[in-house]
Amino acid sequence: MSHHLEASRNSCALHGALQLFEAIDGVVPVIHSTSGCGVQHYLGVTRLSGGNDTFGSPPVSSSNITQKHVVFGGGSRLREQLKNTVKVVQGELYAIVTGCSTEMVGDDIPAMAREGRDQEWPVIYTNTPGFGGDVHHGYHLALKALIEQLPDIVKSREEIPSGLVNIWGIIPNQDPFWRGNLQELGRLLEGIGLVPNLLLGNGQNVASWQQVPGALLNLFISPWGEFPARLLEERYATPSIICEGVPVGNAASILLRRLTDRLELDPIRTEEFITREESRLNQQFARLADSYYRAGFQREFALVGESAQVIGIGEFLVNSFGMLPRTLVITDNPSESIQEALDSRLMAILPGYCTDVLFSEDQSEIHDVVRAGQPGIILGSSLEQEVAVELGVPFLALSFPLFDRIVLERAYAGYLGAAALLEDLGSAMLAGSKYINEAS
Amino acid sequence: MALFGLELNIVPDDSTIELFRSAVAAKASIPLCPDAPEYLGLILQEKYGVPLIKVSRPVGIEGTGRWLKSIAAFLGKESVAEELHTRKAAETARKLGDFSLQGIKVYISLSSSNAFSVLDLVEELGGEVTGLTITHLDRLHVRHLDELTTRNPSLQIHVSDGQAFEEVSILRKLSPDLYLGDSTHLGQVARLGIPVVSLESLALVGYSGVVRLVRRIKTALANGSYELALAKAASPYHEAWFRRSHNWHIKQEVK
Repeated sequence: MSHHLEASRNSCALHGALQLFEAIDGVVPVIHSTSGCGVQHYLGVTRLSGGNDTFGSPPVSSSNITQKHVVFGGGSRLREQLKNTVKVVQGELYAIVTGCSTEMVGDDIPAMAREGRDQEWPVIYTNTPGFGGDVHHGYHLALKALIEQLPDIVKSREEIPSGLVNIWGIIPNQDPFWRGNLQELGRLLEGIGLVPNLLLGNGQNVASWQQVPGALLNLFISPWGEFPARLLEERYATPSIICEGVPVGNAASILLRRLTDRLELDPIRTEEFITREESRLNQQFARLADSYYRAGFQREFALVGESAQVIGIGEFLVNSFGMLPRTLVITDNPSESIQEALDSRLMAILPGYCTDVLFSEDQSEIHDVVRAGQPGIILGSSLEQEVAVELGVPFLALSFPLFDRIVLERAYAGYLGAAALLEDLGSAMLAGSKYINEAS
Repeated sequence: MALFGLELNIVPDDSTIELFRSAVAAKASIPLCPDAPEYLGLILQEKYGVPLIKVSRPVGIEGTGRWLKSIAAFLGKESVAEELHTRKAAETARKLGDFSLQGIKVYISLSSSNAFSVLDLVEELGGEVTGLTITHLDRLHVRHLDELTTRNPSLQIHVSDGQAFEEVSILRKLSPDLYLGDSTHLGQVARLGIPVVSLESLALVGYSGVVRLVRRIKTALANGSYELALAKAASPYHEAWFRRSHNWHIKQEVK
């Protein structure tokens, strides 16, 4: 069964790889493709993730191949581009990514990377044609390249702290709150005595990635962590824990207890930390009560986002905030087995209540389903706003693409994230409260 | 347009098939922006006999007046345009007050459709254009280039689409007082401490466009604190790059 796809949010492998590389300080990506790929990376991705441009969004280095390179091969153009990039742009590691055009031509990328390494340049490469897969596939390709090629390039290693935990599965820009989410997850791990290795975002650099093999544990947030879990288990025998949804509010407590058990940490310290965090969150709930009832916050909601977001935010709103999960739409195309698991988990999210669960990346299909559910509030990407306007209900933009919000360090994960989510959700409700009479 | 007794048909932006059909029966066509519409205008002229009025963009007070007058001349309604322009020019001058870019060195970095008209506008406002980055040049721009060579023979033109590293190198040497651009790397420019105005979403056309731009310029020149804050973030480029000529990567194929 095939039908056309409208406005997919899953872009392509090249962008997924770029998003990962750009999130690491000191990594300079070099695109080997026609010029459109680099431009689209900006127009179609970084511009749509809440002001998450890398500094001033300078153009990404690109070989910008033209017709003659398609006919005669683009290897020499890449050689030249790599050389010039190393000379002009500061970096600790240069990462070549490839587009559809050069992959169809069949340029020998590993050879170019090897040439660069012969010149003592720190170069890795990954083949990321868009026809090979979407943004999540690109995320996998990029981290595979780093895990497999980095040890051969950057030899020196600093002390690896004990209790190091690598965090995987949060894809920069694809989760617009990635920076804040990683920060908060890091704070939680520190709270129970672990040392988080965020790998992406503030202060994370090539050295962070060099520490990956020495970790005690790999923590996976989202189904997109399964691939690196397997890879790292094969290479370094590091065990892992998978958390399918972003842990929001009390779900964070559950995760922290799991980690405490698994790693035999001090349970008293963990409980103290959890108690402090939960009591703050409980007080925030209490302060909200007046607005909650006065403005009729409790209602049916529609949530559109990636797997981890929908599970994490959906379960929090249902389990802690009294909301009714009318429609849940997952847009990131997880594999069939994961889909089955998510489906049964989400359909049963509120016993006795019928929830519509849809796996789709087609805008028109998503909008039809959301509209049909007649929710009292819609949480989704900026693309869903028009449905909210149509139905006359409040709207909160929280998934990719996000073009009318700025997100610098805001988290929706953990305890601080739960508070931020409630602030934004509550504000959206109050702004749209003139519609309460129409909402159920 | 109503003053000329004309109805305006705008193609191709936000057009419908109907509007395209009626385009072939128009009295004339005139571009709102040079490069891109040229082809459409020529086809309408060659295949359907709709005369194409060639005139530069209605940007700036004089530029807008010239644009209106060229339509008027085509219809034999010169006096209507004269009167309109005189009135509007006076109104605009009133709104601008004593604003002037006298003594302000301005760097312009724009697409080819915008660059020349904004250059004229900056000079109309009394400013000095110390440098120009333009996305591309072709035979459509020869007339503009000829004019520029006469008016401003020492003006260096940097032809580049998105080569921020070259532009930043130029700007470090020139140190302009103001930068007008529409590119994706304005942050890199601003961190050099140069006040920046983005023309990307600014409606620049017409008399009101002048007022709009001036308002933005005044704001940018009034408070440079954000640029100072940006300067604290590191530049992505090697210092060694800035010691080279910014033309280093341009291959001299024709001497």
